[in-house]
Parts: sequence; structure tokens; C-alpha cells
Amino acid sequence: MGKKLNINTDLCMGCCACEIACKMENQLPAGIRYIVMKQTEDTIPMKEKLLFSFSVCQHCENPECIKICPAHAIEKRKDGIVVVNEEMCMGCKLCKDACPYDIPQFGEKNVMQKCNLCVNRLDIGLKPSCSLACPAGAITVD
Amino acid sequence: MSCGCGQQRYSNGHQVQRALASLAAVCGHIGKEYGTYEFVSNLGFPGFEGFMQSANVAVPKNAKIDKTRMINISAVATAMLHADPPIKGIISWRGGLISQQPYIDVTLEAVKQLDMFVVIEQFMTDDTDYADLVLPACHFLEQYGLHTSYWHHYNQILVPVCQPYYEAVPDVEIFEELGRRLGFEEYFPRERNGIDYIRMLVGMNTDVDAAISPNGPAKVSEEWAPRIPYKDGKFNTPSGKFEFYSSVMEERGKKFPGDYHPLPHFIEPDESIKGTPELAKKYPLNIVSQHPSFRCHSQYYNLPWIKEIEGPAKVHINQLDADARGIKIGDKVRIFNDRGELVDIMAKVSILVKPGVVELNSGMWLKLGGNVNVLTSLSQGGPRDTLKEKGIMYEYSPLYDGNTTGYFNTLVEIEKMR
Repeated sequence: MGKKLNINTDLCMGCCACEIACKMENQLPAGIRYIVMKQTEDTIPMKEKLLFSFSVCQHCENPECIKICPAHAIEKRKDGIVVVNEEMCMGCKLCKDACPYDIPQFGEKNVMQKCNLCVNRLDIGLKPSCSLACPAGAITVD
Repeated sequence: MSCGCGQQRYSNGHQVQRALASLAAVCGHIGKEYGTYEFVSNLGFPGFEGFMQSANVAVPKNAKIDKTRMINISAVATAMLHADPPIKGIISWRGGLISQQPYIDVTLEAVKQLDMFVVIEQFMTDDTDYADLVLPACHFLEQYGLHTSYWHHYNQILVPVCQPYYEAVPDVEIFEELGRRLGFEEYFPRERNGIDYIRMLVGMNTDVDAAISPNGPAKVSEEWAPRIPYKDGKFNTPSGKFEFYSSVMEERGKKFPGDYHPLPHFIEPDESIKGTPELAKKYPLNIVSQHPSFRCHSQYYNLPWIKEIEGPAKVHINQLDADARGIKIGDKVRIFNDRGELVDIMAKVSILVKPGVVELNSGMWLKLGGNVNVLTSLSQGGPRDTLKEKGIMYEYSPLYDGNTTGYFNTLVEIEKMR
């Protein structure tokens, strides 16, 4: 089982520290968000609660984006992390349609961008920025 | 008991705090390992009394400085409009005067009638819209700063990590230069920097070097921030005991107007469903404001990343109240009362509020829509009634005089926009 983000949504409190940390780490402009916190509610009477869920790359075991990419620009590393080779990406956006979670995003350079589990940090033994920033300790890499 | 999270933002907010403190004492939960009442133990807020020696900076030795008057923070517009002698000019800094003071129409009226309105700011905010002069402020990363304990027991001292841009200078340099030009040059030597000021303010009561970044946060000493406040059962009162009946409050009430009742007691807030039923017939919803977790007051509301996370201005409304008004989640609504109206606010039907209460986040800029102070009143929490004193004070005690802005006793109605 490859590496991916594990987010304990029971611990999450919707502070968005992960979102900001990610944007800082990857120097993202407004409009591109690799991790998005979504807040909804359970409205069952007497059992009302806030629910937090996330939109972030799942680093799938069998990535649909890799299957469909005509430029072979996406690769699943041995450790399971799915990464994009920007130089090979054509910006055709087929991966965006293929992804069941609608994760691929395209910015000014028109190459596919998404969470890469902060591979540069992981490779030197550091946590991903979101994990480090989360005050609830809700994000780990498994 | 955790305090200051909104239960005090009413005209009777001071009685809430006294009641809570008294409740803790009646239950024997003060001075114990397991229990305290936050404000009693003074968790650094608003400051450990006597810790900061402001006089060292404000009234230097040998300086002949006239005793000045103070404006109460919860009566700013009132002071600007009615002070005698009148206030002719205001320098506003480190605070969103227009976006954060209550009853915006009154604030704007007060600002417009000034001879001079100077704003020290980083961005073009609601305040700068009305300024006669804007001075460019530094970011906190560009200047020294003393970050004292606020709800905790640590001090931090910030050092500049980058140069300010263009002509921006630290606030302290603006005021130093003003002081020099007003004839007090000898008290503002040019070689003095932020750390020097910090030593003058707190150097005798704490280890400054331990708190200067990258050192710190530095724990405040046990003397100033006891781990178990009042463990010895001794209180700083005339009797030495916890006083449910406070003779000091009673005495103070003879000197200043306000609710200095010696015992905690209940009074209705200025506006409420139960207390002002006639008004509540027209405006049956009580509006309150949360602080969103990813910005502070009006700061940074304009930044693209924050806008992205926050989304449009939204008002939280209970299902029952929404159903009664034909409002569904995502509808655009109008929020209004006799003081003003907000339009195009997105309705978020939510479990966050009970029926009769609606919530609109604080800190949204007036010019970007959604500023709740279009609706709030001049209501003020006591005990001291500084509105009666036209917002001007010649002496003030945070402990006995209190005061907070009564943002939350505000009644409104909501309707779906056509």
C-alpha cells in the first residue's frame, strides 16, 4: 500500500491551516488549491454535528490519470506517490475528466498540478507542510 | 471556565463575568489545581497589572507633559462627536476604526467632521477611504514587536526579518519623529530601537533576551503568572477574601456613572427578544458574530488566499427561521434593522445557531460588503457608562471600569431578496 495523506476528520476543526501551509509551500496563486477543506453538517435531530471533509489527491493505487495520460507525464513512484512531470505534460486536461475526485488543476503554465505529498520534504525525512501545520494533528502520511 | 469568547459582548456583559467569577467561587473552584476562572487568574489578558511600565516610555524623566485625556475604546465615535474640548484630529493605527467600531453611520459621521484623519496602514482599507493622510505601515515581519501574553503565560519578541518597502517605517518611528517635531527631540534619541523600548517597558519584570526571536516564547515568571492563581486563598481585595459583595465597586460607583452594583445581579441587555419585546416584534432575530479561524478581525480580509478560503459573506440561520421566511441555503438575503441594511448576503441554513439567533462573521470590510457594524448599536458593556461621560476619561481601571462594545445585543430581521 503506497503513501497517501490520512486525514482524521474527527480531529479536524476546519481552521484551514493545511490549505494555507500548502499554498505557501507550493507558492500557489489564488485559484489553485491542492487541498480544500469542506465544511458540512449532519442535521439529524439531537445528533447534529459539523462534518469536515477534504478534496485532495488520493494517490490512488490504480490511478485513472496515469491510464489516460497520452503524454505519459504522470508516474506512480515506488513509494506510491503520484507525481507529474511538468515538462512532459501537454495540458490536454484528459486527466481532469478521468479523475473520480476532480483533482487535476491547470494554472498559467497549463500543466497539471496537484498535491505531490511534498515529496521534496518527505525525501529528506520531513512531514508534508499540511501535516506540520495542522494544530489538531489530524494529518499524517501513511 | 473559559471567558471572553463572546458572552461578554452585551450591555450586561460585565454582569456575566461577575456572575461567572462568583459561580466559580461559590463552587470552590478558584485557587485549585483543577479549577479557575480565567479572568480572575488574568491569563495575560488584558495584561498582568503593573507588568508593563508604560510610564517609562510615555512620561520620561524630566519631561513636562500635560496630563492627557483618554478615549474609551467602546465609545470612540461618541468621543469624536461630543468631547469638550472637541477632538479635532485622530491618528488611527493598528485597528480598523471604521470597520470594527459599532454603528457605522455614527462612526462615519464622526470621522467626516474631523479636521484631520490620519491613518497608518498597510492596505487601502475602509479607514484609508476616509483619511486625509495615509502613512505607510510596516508589516510585523518588518519591525520589532513585543508580543506579550494574551490568554497564556508567555512573551515573545519579534525581530524584523526583512526590510520595509519604499517609505514604510515602523509605527514607533512615526511617533518618534512626530515627538521630535513637536519639540521633544531630547526624549527620542535616534539610536534607540525597538528592543530598547521593549527593555524600557518590561525589562525590569522579565528576561527580555530569553524572549527575543529566535529565543522564546519565554514563560512569564511564577510571580506574574502563577500556575495555580490564588492557591494561597489570598485575594487582592480590602478583606483579603474573594468578595461577592464588593465594597470597592460600591465606592467606585459613587465616583463614576454606570452599573457598579456591589453584588452581581441580572439586567436585561439593551436589545433582546425578552427585554425589548416591542422592538423584537419588528426585529425578532438576534445577530452575533464569530471570528473566523483564518484571519484576525478586519486584517487580511482582502487577501486573495483568504478570500478563496472564506468565500462570500454568509449569514448562518436556523432551519426553523429559514423555513418561516421561505429561505433556502444559498439564497441571497437582506439583513436589516432601523440602523441600516446589508444586501446580497448568502444564507447558510445551519445547525450553528439556535432559532432566534443568526450569525454573520466579524471583520468584513464595509466597502466589500457584509460588515455587521452597519447593524450594531452604540451599546456598551459596563460597569462604567462612558457614553454618559461622552467617551472621555481622565482615569481608568480595566479591573473596575470594564467596558466592551455590546455588538451582540443587536436585533435584526432577514428576508429573501427578490
